[in-house]
Amino acid sequence: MILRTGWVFVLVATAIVAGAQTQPDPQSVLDQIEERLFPESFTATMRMYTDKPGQRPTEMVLDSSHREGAGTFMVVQAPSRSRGMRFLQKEDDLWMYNPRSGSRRAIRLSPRDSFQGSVFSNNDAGDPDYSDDYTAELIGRERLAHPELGSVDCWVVEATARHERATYGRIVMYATVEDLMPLFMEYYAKSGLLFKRMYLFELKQIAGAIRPTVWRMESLEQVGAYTLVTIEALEARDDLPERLFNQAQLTR
Amino acid sequence: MNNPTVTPGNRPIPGNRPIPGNRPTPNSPLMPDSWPTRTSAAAVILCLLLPACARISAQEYEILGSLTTEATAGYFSDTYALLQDRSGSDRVEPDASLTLDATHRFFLDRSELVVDHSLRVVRPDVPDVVTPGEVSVAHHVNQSYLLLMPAPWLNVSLGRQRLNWGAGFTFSSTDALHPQPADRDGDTGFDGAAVTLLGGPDFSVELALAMQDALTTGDVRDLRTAAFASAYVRTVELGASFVYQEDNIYRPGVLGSIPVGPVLLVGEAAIEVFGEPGVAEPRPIMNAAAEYTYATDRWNAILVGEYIFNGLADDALFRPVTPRLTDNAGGFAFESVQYAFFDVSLVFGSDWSTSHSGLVNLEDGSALIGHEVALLVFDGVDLGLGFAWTGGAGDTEFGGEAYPYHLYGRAWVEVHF
Repeated sequence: MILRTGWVFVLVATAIVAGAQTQPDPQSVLDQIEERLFPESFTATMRMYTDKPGQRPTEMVLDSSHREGAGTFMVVQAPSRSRGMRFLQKEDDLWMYNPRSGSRRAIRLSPRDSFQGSVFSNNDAGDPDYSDDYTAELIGRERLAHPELGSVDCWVVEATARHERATYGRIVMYATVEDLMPLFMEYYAKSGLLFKRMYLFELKQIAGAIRPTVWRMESLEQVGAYTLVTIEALEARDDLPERLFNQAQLTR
Repeated sequence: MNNPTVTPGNRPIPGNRPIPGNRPTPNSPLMPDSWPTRTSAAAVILCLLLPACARISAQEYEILGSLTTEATAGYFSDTYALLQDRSGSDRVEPDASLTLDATHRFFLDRSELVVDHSLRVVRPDVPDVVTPGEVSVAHHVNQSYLLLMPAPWLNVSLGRQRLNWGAGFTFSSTDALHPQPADRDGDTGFDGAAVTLLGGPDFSVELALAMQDALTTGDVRDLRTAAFASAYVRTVELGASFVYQEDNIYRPGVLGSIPVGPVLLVGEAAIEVFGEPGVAEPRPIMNAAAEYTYATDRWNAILVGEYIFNGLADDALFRPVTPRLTDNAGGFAFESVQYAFFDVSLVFGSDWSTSHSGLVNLEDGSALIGHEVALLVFDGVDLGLGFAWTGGAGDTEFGGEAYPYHLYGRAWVEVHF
């Protein structure tokens, strides 16, 4: 009897240890999800297509430069009406300057507001980092149907806002167990309301890693509204000058 | 047409802000147009050749701008007609224009050449002033400078350039650096040099030397210098400025901005030591403003309100533009002490936008108000309709002879490229 009890204890202990070994650190998972989306510092060209019921679809092409710890600088390349418009993400704010407007100041945009009428928020567009605003927790492991990968085993990570300034109350992320590729995200308001979800497709080798290059963000508040972001070019860069991210230079 | 008469009515909105709605000041033939007239076929050829040459010589080239055709009509008071020595009855004056605005950027190795210029063709319809069918062509260089970036922490720019320093929406105490011609909407840069020292993404110090007056007069005392430092501590901006010209300007200033919830509060204050050239009589200049932006899935709004205290204005001291100095050492060429400015801009989806703004003289109660609606017909083409009007008694700033129109309407088609 004692021998049998001992075997059960060993089996249970082994299972616990094995489980602990296979379950990764949640914050590390969040970091790796970020790395799967973008390199630490990069330049990118993105096409943003927005379709909303009752409105004419819009398309915008942006050149984006991001340097870890410095910010994100974006310039609109299309449509022609907005070409040359610049954005600078600093801290939690996105600043917009339109050289065509004759204005002397950049306008401060709220991080939670819609980015140029898209389903993405200003913060989504300008800040590719989650780990500075959210605390991660692994809340499960589920199978997810993905058009390219089929039925795939995913970690479910819940990223909860660390502070009031965070854009969302929490984000639930699905990333593959095998290589932590993010495939699906759900965005919750601070009230707890699920109001957006994002699907990530077109996994391609780009900027030194396989990454999703098409992101589809859907609004659950405005049924049928979505924005499709296509990453047309992406390059890891560690030589981006700080002048690019200096606010005093934005209006020159 | 190029009427050399400069009347107070052609002074720009403070701080070079265009007429409400970010549109240029009305360009009626009766709003004398003294753009430089060095216009010739060469200017037109230059406009065409710049892009072609750029593609050959520069590593990378970018052009952005617009082509606008516009029809305007102003309902003018008899006071203005009398000023022009013309028949003294209220009248409607129409004209039509075609304007090409372009900014070229030539990207070279560690340097950049920027040329920002306008070419405007005006066909006024004022039979007793111009020969029927007469057109005027004017070319104006707003900026043309070479930006050198010899080190990651250093920028040097040489040529005609504009520096948007300061915290305010309508003017900054450092605007004294720039020429402020009475008839332009204020895009013109100063002729000189600027050095920027970058201390990372959140700190910079800039120094500038303006030479346009000294070049005109040949007097080194007309050289004007300015310095501006800006630092961000998280989302709070703190800054300091200084403008100096011998016996004319000695103007230290401070500024700041801080977001409070969805509102951005900004303010700037300076002391001008000289009340008039050579006379030390300290006077304050300041502005305080708030900006609020709000965006939904369907529309977005930007609201701006600003209070301006113009200590340089004084009935005894205020003078119209002097021939010697391009801005009368002011930086705020309006005649009263207190003003309020507002701007409300709304954008609905990708189809249309509207803006409403105005400048109110808080002392005499007069106002200059503008409204605009722009409709996006298809990608890159806008249709616009706007009008500006003045309010106030005949002896007030905006109701009097300085702003001779009662109502000024515009319709335009703008093609962006």
